[in-house]
Amino acid sequence: MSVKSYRDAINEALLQEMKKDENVVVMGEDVAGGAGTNGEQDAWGGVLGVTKGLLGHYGRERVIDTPITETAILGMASGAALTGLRPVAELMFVDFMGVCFDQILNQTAKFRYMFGGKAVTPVTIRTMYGGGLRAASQHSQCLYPMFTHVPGIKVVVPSCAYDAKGLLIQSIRDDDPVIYMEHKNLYDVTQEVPDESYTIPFGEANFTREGKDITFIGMGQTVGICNKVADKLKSEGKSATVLDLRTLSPLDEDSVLEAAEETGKVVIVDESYPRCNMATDLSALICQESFSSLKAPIKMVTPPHTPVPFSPPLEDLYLPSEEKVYNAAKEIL
Amino acid sequence: MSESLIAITMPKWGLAMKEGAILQWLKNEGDEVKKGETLVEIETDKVVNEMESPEDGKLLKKCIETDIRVPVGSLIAVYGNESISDEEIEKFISEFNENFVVEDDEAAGEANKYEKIMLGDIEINFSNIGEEKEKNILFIHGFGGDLNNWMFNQEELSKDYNTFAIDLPGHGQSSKNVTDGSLKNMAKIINDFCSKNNISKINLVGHSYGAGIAIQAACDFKDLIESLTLISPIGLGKEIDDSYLEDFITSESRRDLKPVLEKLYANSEIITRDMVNEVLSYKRIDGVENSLKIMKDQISKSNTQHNELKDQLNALEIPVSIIWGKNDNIIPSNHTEKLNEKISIQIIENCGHMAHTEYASKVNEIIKSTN
Repeated sequence: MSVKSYRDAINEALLQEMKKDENVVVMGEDVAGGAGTNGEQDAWGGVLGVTKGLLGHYGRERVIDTPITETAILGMASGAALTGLRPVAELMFVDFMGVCFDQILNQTAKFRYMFGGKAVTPVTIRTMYGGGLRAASQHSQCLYPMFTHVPGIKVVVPSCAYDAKGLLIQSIRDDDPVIYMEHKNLYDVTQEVPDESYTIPFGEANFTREGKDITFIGMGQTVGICNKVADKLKSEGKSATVLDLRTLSPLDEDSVLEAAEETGKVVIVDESYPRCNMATDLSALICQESFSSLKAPIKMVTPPHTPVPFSPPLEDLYLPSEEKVYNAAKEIL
Repeated sequence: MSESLIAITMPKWGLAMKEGAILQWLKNEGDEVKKGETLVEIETDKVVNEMESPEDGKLLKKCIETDIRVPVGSLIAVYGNESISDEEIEKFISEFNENFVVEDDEAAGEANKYEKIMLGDIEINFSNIGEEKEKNILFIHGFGGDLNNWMFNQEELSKDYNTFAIDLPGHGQSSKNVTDGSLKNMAKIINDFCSKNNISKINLVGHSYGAGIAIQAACDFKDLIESLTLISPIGLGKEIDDSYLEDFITSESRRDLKPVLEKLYANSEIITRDMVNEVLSYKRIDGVENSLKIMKDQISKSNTQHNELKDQLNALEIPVSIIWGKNDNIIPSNHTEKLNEKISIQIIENCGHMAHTEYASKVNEIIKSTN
């Protein structure tokens, strides 16, 4: 057990799984850096340094710098998975899914079904998402609802370093395609993380706060916001439950309903576009299954239905914030 | 500063505890409080538990509000045994707070950290508090537990003893590569642990499976072991609730594991989601499930225990105390029948399999009186 960052936890999960199983390979744009040149090798380790150091342990055979073509990366990874490897493919920014979505939607997600359960596709797609880095509207989106919409893919959104490691190991060992989504703002959050390998099963949400007066439901980056607001409310004499979904597909419906029923007042905090996102989906679930336990309308804190602004003041205004979540809570408390 | 004022401070329950909050005062200002009576209910990151009064005295002033988190060691109340002016109390509080330094992990250094040693290819994690004291105590947890099970005991006993608590192989932060879960083998590990730490005499406190290991160690290493305090030990009778062990190993979700852990306590409400999560995180580490299965095979099958230690225990010539919860759901307390009359036996009412956490101060007193 030692304090590790979210970035280090992901790196350690990759290292340990590559050691355990030689079928695990990593591929993507500059996942090492310098392939085929005389220049510095392992110069990048991924655009934010998450895969740095893997090259030294496992070499070019298993840490594969690819050309700049997401279509090819995803196609190669899915095909390799069908032949028995366990590829971890990196789609640098989730925003780039546009050019490779056929590989995900019509190929990877469908193999098991179309081949009558005789083919498995143990591919993990790691990708960065989310706003806050001033990276403008094609590098800041929060697109997990586009994947939760598709049956046959599992969608994982770790919120902290402990979950990042356990969920990534689970993703790699899972026999189905998994989209593993890393929020750019979380890489430096730290936590006590076991040094050994461990897993966290999919479809198990986590209660990060326990309270009686109000329930916050968050995922990925918004869990931290919910925790902070819960702590602030506690100092004001109100106690809040916070539920971290951990995986969006499969979804831990039991815990969502349990969390909603405990307090009857629910605020869902979701960084994705507001039409057909997780907030609307959870809201519908709670209304259908636990309507009689609700004591107030469900509040949804999401961005407006616009592209992510490049202007820093506008981006700050756009994203869910502690202030917005606090105000939403106050309206129904 | 008035000699007759006593500072009551936020206790430290386990190495990881940094802060605590008072959930509820169970005494009022002006009440006479006896040592051992419950004073407040305290919440930490991990547990909610009642704190017992460390001293006799009159509760003159409560120093913090409920639900406010304060660092370990902070002043929470002031006792006095005579009428003392408010001014003097205020002066005492402000002097305490001026001199109070929050315990810093880095500054506390080694004394406050888990330590690790290698015994062959097994890495053992342990904590050692009270190094300057002469007499040694070693705490051995039970099946599926870890050294944090002694959070209400180790810190308290470290005032008088050099205390060690270990994570057995396959548990806590020790190696998860158990290949032999027999009491003989585990007892040997206890002996190796002591040799490696240059301990020549030690008092053992064991719980359940750990108590079985303690008995075995006392039989195999007579020169090393000075006394035994056994809490709900295995090996003194046939009966055991096998389904507890089976279900502990196989439960994969909070929903499945919670009722299993509830069996441990007389008051099952003590089990929080955090506690269940902590056990799940442990169980999900590679190698744990297999290690647990190997140890379980050495404990019982079909609700019948494999180890028979009664005769060996009766033959020991060292002080032995046995503590058992009357409502133990895992191993029945009537296993204390037909024991050598030199052995002190304490059956605690309204207490389950975890006397050392359910009735910590009572257990601490018994441990002290055994040594």
